[in-house]
Amino acid sequence: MLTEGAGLGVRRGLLKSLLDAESAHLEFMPDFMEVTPDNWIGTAGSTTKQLHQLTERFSFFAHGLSLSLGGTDPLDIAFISQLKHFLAVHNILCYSEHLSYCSAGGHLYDLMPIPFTDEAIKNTAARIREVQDRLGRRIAIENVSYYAAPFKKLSEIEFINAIVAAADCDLLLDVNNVYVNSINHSYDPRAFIAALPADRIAYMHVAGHYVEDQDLRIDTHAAPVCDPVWDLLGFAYQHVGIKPTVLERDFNYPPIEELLAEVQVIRDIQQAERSRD
Amino acid sequence: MIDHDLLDLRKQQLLFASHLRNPAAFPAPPGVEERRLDVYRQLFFSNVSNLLAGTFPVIRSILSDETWQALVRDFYTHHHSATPLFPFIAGEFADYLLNERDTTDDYPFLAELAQYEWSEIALRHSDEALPTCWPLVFRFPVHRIGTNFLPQQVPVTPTYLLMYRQIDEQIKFMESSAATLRLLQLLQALPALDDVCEQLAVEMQHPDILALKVMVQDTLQQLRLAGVIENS
Repeated sequence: MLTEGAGLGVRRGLLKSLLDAESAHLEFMPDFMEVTPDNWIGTAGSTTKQLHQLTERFSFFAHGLSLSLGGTDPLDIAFISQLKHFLAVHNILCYSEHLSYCSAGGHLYDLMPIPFTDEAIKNTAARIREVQDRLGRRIAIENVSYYAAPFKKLSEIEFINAIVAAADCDLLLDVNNVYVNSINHSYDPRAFIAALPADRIAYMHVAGHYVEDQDLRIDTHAAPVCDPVWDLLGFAYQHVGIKPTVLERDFNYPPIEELLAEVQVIRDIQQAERSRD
Repeated sequence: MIDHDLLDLRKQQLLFASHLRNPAAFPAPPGVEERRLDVYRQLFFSNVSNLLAGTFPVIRSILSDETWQALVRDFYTHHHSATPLFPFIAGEFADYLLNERDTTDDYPFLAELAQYEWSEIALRHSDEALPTCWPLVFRFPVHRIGTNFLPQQVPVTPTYLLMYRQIDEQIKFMESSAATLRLLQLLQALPALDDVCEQLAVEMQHPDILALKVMVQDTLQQLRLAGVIENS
């Protein structure tokens, strides 16, 4: 298992430039990469072969979208078997999913906020446990960005911590999501990070977001990471320790050199934290 | 009046999901600011709309923005998508058009065109050994449909297509015939070419088996040269 390092989320549109970059200037390449199984399971063809080339050459994490851990449609057992196979074939070191639900009478293909209630804690924790049993490994759950909290009875931090404890799972700390949520729901992002169980944090995410309004930010993964999020990443390292950290970029791809330079910023912040000790 | 505090988790989630599937038909959860609901409504709908526009480029190109959005909205509202896999959402949409949609006001070829566009994706991801070829039959000449060709009447003769994935992963198609499609089908089922020709002669009521064999050999040679079937 990787314990630190700077990573990049692989998308179909980035595959070729990553493979080209690898042959051109190896020293700037990410230490590891992350892939979304739900975009690849059951696929074949030239881009799927390119993914295999990358997972053979780099350490890989996987980050799912469709498990609907917080949902109430039955867990998709066949899908979990496919996932297990995917994780084995690509030698995935760590698998994460969203603390969210994406189905209710069928899939909606996007992330809905789980009601912050006791009933939802029980339901979600039981589903995470079943997934962990079936996969035969611990998974990490990501704090998602949310724009509304329908049916809320508890605070977000109470909700997350209760689930991590009840499910006995790890956490993927998405630093951009903490920042976005802290603005959208008026809380202190540092206090939020400080209240998380540091020993459960397996790895971290950073990404760019969109400023819709002074008090409304949208988690688009379509822009460079902003300075306050880099600062918050530094704070997270101070509080939690240095963890493997993935840059996510889903749209508006810049030239690959620019993305790799952003991955380098993660390394610089990790180095700064090391020299602080 | 619903007491939302008494809804169980399942009902809470169905309420929110129904609203996102179709905000005009289903109410929003209580006490949520309109501006924030709007973020979800727009994110969810544009996500599925962009995804489908990318996988059904021909359908997208022949419909106005308004008609396209109404079509996607109807799919999102009524179809219970089962696949968790993003590359296969196109199959959900094609199924919905074929089996669930009220097509009264649609182009008469819409469901077939969706099957055609979806077949290309499905073939790309099939795990069959290459080259591989899928015989397809449509009422409409779906491969020619575009903004300049929008047939309203079912043609007298069906359209027979071979969609194939070559050794180099390239996907192509060619117009074909009922006889060739049947030939390919029989080749899958029967091991010996002589048996295939005999069966074909019976079905086509072809009087001259030797002449038929020559035709079959000729057809197979053409298909090999085009990379539709394997060189043997």
